[in-house]
Order: sequence, then structure tokens, then C-alpha cells
Amino acid sequence: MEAGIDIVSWYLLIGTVMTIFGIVRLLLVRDLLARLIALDVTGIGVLVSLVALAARSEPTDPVLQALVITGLVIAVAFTGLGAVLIRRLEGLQEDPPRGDHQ
Amino acid sequence: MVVNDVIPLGLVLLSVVVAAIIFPLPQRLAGLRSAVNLAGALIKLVLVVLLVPPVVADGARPEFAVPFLPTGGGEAISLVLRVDPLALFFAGLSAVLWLLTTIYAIGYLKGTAYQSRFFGFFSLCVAATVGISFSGNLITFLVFYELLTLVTYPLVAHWGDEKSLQAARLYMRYALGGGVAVLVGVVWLTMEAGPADFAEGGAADVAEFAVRSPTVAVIIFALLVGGLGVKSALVPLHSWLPAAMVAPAPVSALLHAVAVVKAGVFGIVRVVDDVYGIEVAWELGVLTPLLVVASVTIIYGSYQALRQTEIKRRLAFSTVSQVSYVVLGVTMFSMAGTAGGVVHLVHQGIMKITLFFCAGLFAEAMGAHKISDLRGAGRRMPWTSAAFTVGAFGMIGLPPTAGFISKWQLGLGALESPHPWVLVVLVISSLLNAAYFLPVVYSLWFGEREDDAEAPETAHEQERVHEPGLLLAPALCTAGFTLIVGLAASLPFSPLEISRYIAEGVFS
Amino acid sequence: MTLAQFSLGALALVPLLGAALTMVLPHPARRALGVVTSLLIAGLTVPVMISVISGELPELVLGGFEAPLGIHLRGDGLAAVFLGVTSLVGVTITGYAAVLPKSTGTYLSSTAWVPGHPGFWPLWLGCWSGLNAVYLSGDLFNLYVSLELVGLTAVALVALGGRSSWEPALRYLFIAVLGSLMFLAGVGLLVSVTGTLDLQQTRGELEGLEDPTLPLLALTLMTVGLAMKVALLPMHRWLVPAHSAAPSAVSPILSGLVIKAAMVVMLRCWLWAVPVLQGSEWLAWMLGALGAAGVLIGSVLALRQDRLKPLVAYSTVAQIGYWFLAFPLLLPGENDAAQLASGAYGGVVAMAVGHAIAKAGLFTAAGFLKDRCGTDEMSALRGAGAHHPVLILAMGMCAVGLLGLPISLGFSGKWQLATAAVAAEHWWVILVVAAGTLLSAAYMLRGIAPLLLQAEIAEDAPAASPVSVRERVGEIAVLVLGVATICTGLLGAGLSDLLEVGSWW
Repeated sequence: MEAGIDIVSWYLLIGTVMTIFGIVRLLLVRDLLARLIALDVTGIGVLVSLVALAARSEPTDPVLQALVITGLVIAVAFTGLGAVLIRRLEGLQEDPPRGDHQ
Repeated sequence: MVVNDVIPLGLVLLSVVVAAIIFPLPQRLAGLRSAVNLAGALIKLVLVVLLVPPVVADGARPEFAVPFLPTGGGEAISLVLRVDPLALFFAGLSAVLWLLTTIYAIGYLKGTAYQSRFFGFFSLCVAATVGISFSGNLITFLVFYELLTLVTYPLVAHWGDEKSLQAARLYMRYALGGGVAVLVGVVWLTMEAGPADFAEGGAADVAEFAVRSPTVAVIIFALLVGGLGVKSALVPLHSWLPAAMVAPAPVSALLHAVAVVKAGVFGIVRVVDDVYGIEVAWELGVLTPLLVVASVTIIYGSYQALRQTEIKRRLAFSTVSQVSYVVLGVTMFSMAGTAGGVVHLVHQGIMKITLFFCAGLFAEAMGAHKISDLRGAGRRMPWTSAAFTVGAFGMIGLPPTAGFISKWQLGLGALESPHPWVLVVLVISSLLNAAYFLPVVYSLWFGEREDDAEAPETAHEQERVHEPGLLLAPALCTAGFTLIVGLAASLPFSPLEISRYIAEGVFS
Repeated sequence: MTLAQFSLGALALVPLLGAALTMVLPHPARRALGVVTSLLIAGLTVPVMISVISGELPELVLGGFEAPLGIHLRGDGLAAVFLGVTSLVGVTITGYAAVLPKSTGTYLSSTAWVPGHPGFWPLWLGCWSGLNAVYLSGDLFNLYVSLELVGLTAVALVALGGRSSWEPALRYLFIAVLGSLMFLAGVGLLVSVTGTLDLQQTRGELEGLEDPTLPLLALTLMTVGLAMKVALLPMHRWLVPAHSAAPSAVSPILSGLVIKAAMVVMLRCWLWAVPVLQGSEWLAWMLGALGAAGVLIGSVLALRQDRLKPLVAYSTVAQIGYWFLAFPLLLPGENDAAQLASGAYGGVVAMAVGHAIAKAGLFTAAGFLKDRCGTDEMSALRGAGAHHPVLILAMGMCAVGLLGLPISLGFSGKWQLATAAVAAEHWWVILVVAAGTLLSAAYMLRGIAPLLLQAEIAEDAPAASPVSVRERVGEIAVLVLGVATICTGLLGAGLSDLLEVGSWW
């Protein structure tokens, strides 16, 4: 039991570190793709922390697990949208505006 | 006559309805627009006149209330519209002058652009003025006071050139600044003493509160009167008024005689007499400083008027000076003084609007903007000049005009009051009034045009200038009122009698 | 199931269904379906509002999942107020977008950019579904999911504005996701302490708790995350480019409604979910200070703009500040605390609702002028008012609401805030409100006065082209919002009574 708590705490620590790392990276980096990845790292960090919190109780907290799954789906949706936008913006740089609009 | 409680609301909404009809009217339907305008003004005048006997003689107080602002857990503060003699006094003034100014404006703006916008906001402005006069508590007063600021902005900016917009911006800056001060004062007072219903002799809660914490009461009084002082152009808060003279002449007339400046002074009268109550205000020691400010404003305004060379600017500074007579009257702490101040609310309106109508006529018909342009105008525009002369004599206070009645009553009040030195202020200002109006009147009738000697034949051609009827009739009407009110001051329901009745209520 | 209960579920699901249907329909039919759906939603709002006004609290448990893990919809005063204002603004903007398809963005077809983006309709209806769900959610899980639905669709809506809008949209996406992750972390932490997602159960559990450290940490995380989404200064920088680059029909939705969703969640967290904790005072004071800074700095920045849409966007930043000014007053002090807090809370809601209507109107007007004149540079818009008197009048009415002058809910809200501040003797609030009012008057004049100038407009300029019937109808939409700004000002007392239904105290 004691070892179990220890492992859980490790996961909690890893999650927190990932979150903080992701946020710092998100704020410092300028490249759009790198920022998107940093955002995903933050997201995974938060989710890992939540999984660790869920594992603290016996049996595993179903409410938190549901939160994690939802969070995962939403993160994927946002990443997809972000990737589309980045693709378009980079498409703009490769293929400069033709002056047909604005 | 049965007095219905909905009448005050109906009177406010009447002008709003007129505005709502006028706004979407296309420019070309000038006839319909004028008809709607005049019908609205006439209905309002009739209603107000019908209200006079029941309210003044029978003591009826029709009241309309609707919950408006929530208070923390307690009962909501209401929007209250109530007709009392002072309210009716002010509403009557605005009803009469709205009708005349509308006629004048129809003639003045004939053929110019954006008339629907102009008359729409004009009606809203009157709605706000009626709302101010019928307000039954400070919150309601504040609502219509701010509304007035907003709807006069497009009127001042009407010509749409850089200069108008600048003046309008200056006006807005002053008026909103004052409005915020009033708002803070009202919020504070409401927290301390409840919603401050206007009552003859002062609100009981406020009197209690003034005994409890006199210092805070004085601060709130300063906030309220300071804020209201902006619109009533007390020195040193007056400089928006001369700048706003770029507006069309009917707007100037409205600003000076009916709506804006008057709303400020009316507010001060309400705060002194019906919120704090004159006794409480006297004990707090706030009346004397206000009296001094009013005296300074009277002298300073007259002095500045003397220095101006443009007709409209001279009239503007004259307004700065004249309006403060009202404040002077209500702060000198005597019944006759209060009556004099209140009656001047109406008298000044009638006289000053005459002068503005005439100034607009001179500008329209002869292109005269400077005082020197008026030399010999008496022969070219005799009717206008006659009306101007009556107005000017009224301002100086010569009998038998309305101005004489005001000054006589104020003089009586000064002698009764603890401040006999006010009489000196009255004398000095009358001398200054004479000094800046008499030369104008003299040159109107006896002045020689400079170019007469050089080109006698052209002078002969210009001997008589056409005076547009729509502009002249209102001016003659108000000039006539100036004389009638002066001559008939002792008849029942004359302004003087009503204001004496109001003053008795204040000191009861 | 009563009609009100049925409406609760339908309010969240009907727009979602509408969004799904519009995706498969051809472009012109989307507009028609959009209008029909919007009217249906407005109709569904009525039974919920009637039920709440009569003092009931309709509840619905969707799909049979009970708390702690369930989809729990609950109608109370706060929900009813925001459902109502969202229907009002939503129907008006839907009508505007249907009449003027140009305002929904630009669409890159195979050959060229075409005005009118068909993607607007599913996204907007999806967003509306999220908004309604946020208002009605009775548990943290639903709040999170619906807030994400709002955020996701809002980012996509911004991106409809063509090239220039993609970068602001991406910036918005980063901050929205970061904010929701912080919120999620806070919710997770709270759940790990209380074991439930239901708002009322959470409060009950927390009230019995001795050690406030974890809930306080959770509250901090949720507050920071939500403050990012509301755009409280200094997390406001994403808002201005996003709201001004968005298409004309989208900016009013974003500024009027979307940030309100995050604000409602903020209120739900602070007032419903978490009781007053030891140590939450400093957090409230922090929010109050940031709010004051937001009012002043936002207004000054608005004053320095040369383009109309950024000016209006900065005005939103300033207005957001007002809502947070009230937070220190929401905490109970020594005397008559409940009254004070309810006054401050009523003030926040009144200001937020007033802002929703007025800002939607003003942004629609700004977008209208931008679409028509091809630019929103204020120097280029001089004299533009001459052809649009109705629009200018409506803008003036909206400006009254934003300034907080009577008669408007903005005034009612400021009044309640100011009286609560006087009662609590927080004089600085009065100073900030007074300064903010004057500054907002200055920037509103800066925005509107040039339109009144009677400048000569070149004959070939787009502004001089004849105004079409559709554009006239679009102007009416702005007028509706302007008139609503004024008329709702008379409802201040009723609003405050309504908010007492199902409030936390």
C-alpha cells in the first residue's frame, strides 16, 4: 500500500512538472507548431496529474477517470483545429496572397 | 376636474411619442413633421394649463411610480413622477417655450438638411425637461438629467462641422463630469438616508441624517450642487456655455432659456428646498458659501458680457450672470428671496429667449453677428428691434417688465434676509446690465450705419429688411409675455403668485 | 415531465441538432434553418423563464445518470437571466447574419474568395448549444464540457474572417486551451477532495472540511483559467485581435455572449460550488485590483485606437474590469453581509447582461460600417453617419448602456455596485467607477463623433453607393439591440428579484 502511494505521488509529480514545462515553453516559444506541441504537453501533464489523483482512492475514482477521458477528447479536437489553422497560415507564407481579397 | 395619476407619465411620453414619429420621417415631408410637432406642443400646453388650478388651488399631487432600482434586500427604489407647484411651474415654462421655439425652429431651419434628426432630438430634449420637472425623487431627477445631456449633444453638434463638434465635445465633457459628481452624491445620500423623496420643507430622513453626521451631509451637498452647478454655469464651471453658441439659434434659445441651464438651477432649487430643506441647509452652513458663489457668478458674468463684441457671446455671458439670480434667491434664506429666485426661473426664460430669437433674426435677415453690425437696425427691422429692446429692458430690470418684478422681489428678500449686502450685488449687476444692454439698444435705434454717408443710395435700398414671420411671431409673443407678466404680477395664478405660494411651502 | 423540464433539455439539444442538420444542407437552406432554430430556441426559453419567475427551480437529469456522475440540468435565476439575454441577442444576430450573408465571413472557393461563409451556421448553432448548457449546468463536469464546446466553436468562428483572422484565431485557441486545462486541473483537484461533481454536493462537502489548502488551490486554478477565457487584464491581449478580426456577425457573439459563458462559470464556482474559504479573501482582492486596472487601462487603450473595431474590443476589456471590481464585495464582512453580497452580485449580473446587449449592438454596427466602407479606420469613416441615421441613433443607445448612464442595465448594475461599495466603505470602487465612466464617455465620443461630421464623401467611395434594402434591414437589427439596451434598463428591480430564485444563500 505504501509503495502504491509512492508511485502515485511520482505520477503526480511528473504530471505537475510536465504542466509547468509546457506552460513555460508555450509562453517562450514563437514558432506556432512548437507552441501547439507545448500546449499538448501541458494538457497531457494535467491529465496525468488527474489520473494520479484518481488512483489515490481505492477503488479508482470513476468520476475523475471520466473527466480525464473527456479532457483527452477535447484536447484532440483543439489540436486538430490548431493544426488546420497552422497549416493554413504556413500555406499563406509559401503561397503569398494573390491580392484577390483584402 | 379629476386629476389622474397617469397624467405626469403621459406628459413625458407625449414628447417621446412625437420624437418616435418624427425620427423616421423623410426629409421632404416638412408639412407633416411640423404638424406633428405643433400638435404635440399644443396638447402638452393645454394639459399643463389644465393642471394648474387643481394642483395650486386644491393641493392635488398626481403621482406615478414604478419600481426601478433594487436595493440590497430591501424595497426597490422607484421612478417617481409627481406634480407639485414647483414642478408645474417649470413644466409650464417649458410647455410655452417649446411651442414658440418649435415655430421659430421650423422657420429657421427651412430648407436645411437633417431636419428629422433635429426635431426628433428636440422633442426628446423636451421630454427630458418635463421628466426633470416632474421628478419626485433624486434618482428620477438623475435619470432625466443625464438623458438631457445625451439628447442635447446632437443638437449642439447639429451643423456637423469641426467647430460644432468641438463645442459639443466640450459641453459633453463638462456635463458628464458634473453628472458623475451628482451620481456619486445621489448614491451616497441614498445609502445614508434612503431614496430622498422631494418634500416641501425637505425630506425627513435627510434632516435626521444631517443631524447624525453633519460633515458627510455637507460633502454630499457639495457634490450635488457642484455637479448641478456645471449645467447651471456657476463660475468657474461655465466655459462650456459660451462655446456652445455655435449651435443653431433655436438650440441656443432652448439651452439658455428652457432646458439645460434651467435644469441645473432647478436641480439646485430642489436640493436646497426639497431634499435638505432650507432650515437644515441653513444650519449646516452651506447656504452662505453658495450665495457667495452665486454673487461672484453674477458680477463676473456681467463683466465678461461687457467685454464681448459678438451678440450671441454677450447674451451667453448674460445668461451665466442672470441664471445665478435664481441661486441667489433660494440661498439668501428669506421667504421673499426664495419667491424671487423661483419667479426668476420663469422670467429669465421668457426674457432671454426673446433676446435669442432676436439675435437669430438679426443674423438671418441682415447677417449681423457683431454688436457693431446692429447700428441703425431699428429702422431696417423695427419689430425685431422692438422685441429686443423689451427683452433688454427686462434684463436690466426696468419697470414694467418681468425683470423688474424679479429684481424687486429679490431686493425685498435681501432686506429680509441675514445678508443685506446682497442688495449691493443686485445694484452693481443691474448697473452692469445697463452698461452692456443700453448701448446696444441705443445703437439699434439711434446709431448711424458707417456706410450710410459714403453710399446713401444703397443705404436707401436696404432701408427695410424682410423679417420672416415664423421667426418674428415667437419673438413678439415672448416680448409681449415679458410685459404682461410684469404688469399682471399680482393677479391669481401669475408666476409671482405661484412662486410666493411655493416659497410659503418651503418655509412652512 | 413538465414543459419547463422538457425545455431545459431541448435548450441544449435543439441547437446541437440544428448544427448537425445545417452541416448536411446546401448553403441557402442553412440560413433558413438557422433562423428557424433560433426562433425555436427563443420559444423554448419562455417556459423556463416563466417557471423560474414563478419561483420554481426546474431540474432535469438527462439519460438517467444521477449525481455524482450525471448530466444534470438546473434552471435558476442566473440561468434564466442569461438564457433570456442570449435568446434576445442570438435571434437578432441570426437575423442580421441571414439578411447580410457577407457578415458571416469569407469563403475560399476553387477560384476566389466568396463573401458569406457557410460554416458560420453549424458553428454558431453549436456555440449556442454550449452557451445554453453552460447556463443550465448543475455540475462541474457539464460546465467544463459545455464551456469547451463554446470555446472550440468560438475559435473556429473567428477563423471564418479570412486570412487576416487566422493568426488571431490561433492565439485565441492557445489561451482558450490553456485556460480550460487550468480549469480542468482545478475541477479534478476539487473532485479528489469531495468525490462529487454536483455543485450543491461540492459545497456541502467543502463546508465540513477543516483544511482549506486544497480547495483554495483548486479555486485559484479554476479562477486563473476562467480569467484567461474572460480576458481579465493582464490576460486580455488575445481578445482585441480576435474580436476585431472576426467577421461582423461573429464579433457581437464573441463579445456579447461567449465571454459571458466563462463569467457565469466563474460565478458558479465562486458562489455556488465553493463556500467562503479561509484565505480566499486575498484572491478576491487580487481580482478586484485587476478589475480596477482593467477598467482604467482598457479605457485608456480604447482611447488610443484609430480603428473602430479595436476601440470597441478594448471597451470590452474595460467593461470586464467592472465585473471583477465586485469580487471583494462578494465576501461576507462583519455586518449585513448577505445583503451586501447579493447587491454586488446583482450588480455584476446586471452589468454583464447590459453589456451583452449593448456590446452586441455596437459591434454589429462597427462591423456593418466596416463591411460597407471596406475599412474601419475612423478617419475614413468621417461623415459615414449621413447615410445611416438609424444606425447612428442605435449606436448612441448602445453607448448609453456601455457608459452606464440611465436608463440602462449598465446604470442599474453600476448603481448596485456603487451602493454595495458605499455600504462596505470601499471608496476606491466609487472612484474607479466614476473614472471609468468618464473615460468610456471619452472613447465612445471618439468612436461616434466622426460619423456625425458632415464630411464630403467621394462619389466613387464604397460609402457613397446606394444603401440596399437588405442593409436597411440589417440596421434595424442594430436598432433592436439599441432599443433593448434602453428598455431593459427599466427591468433592474425585476432582475434582482429573479436572481434571488435559487441563489446560493
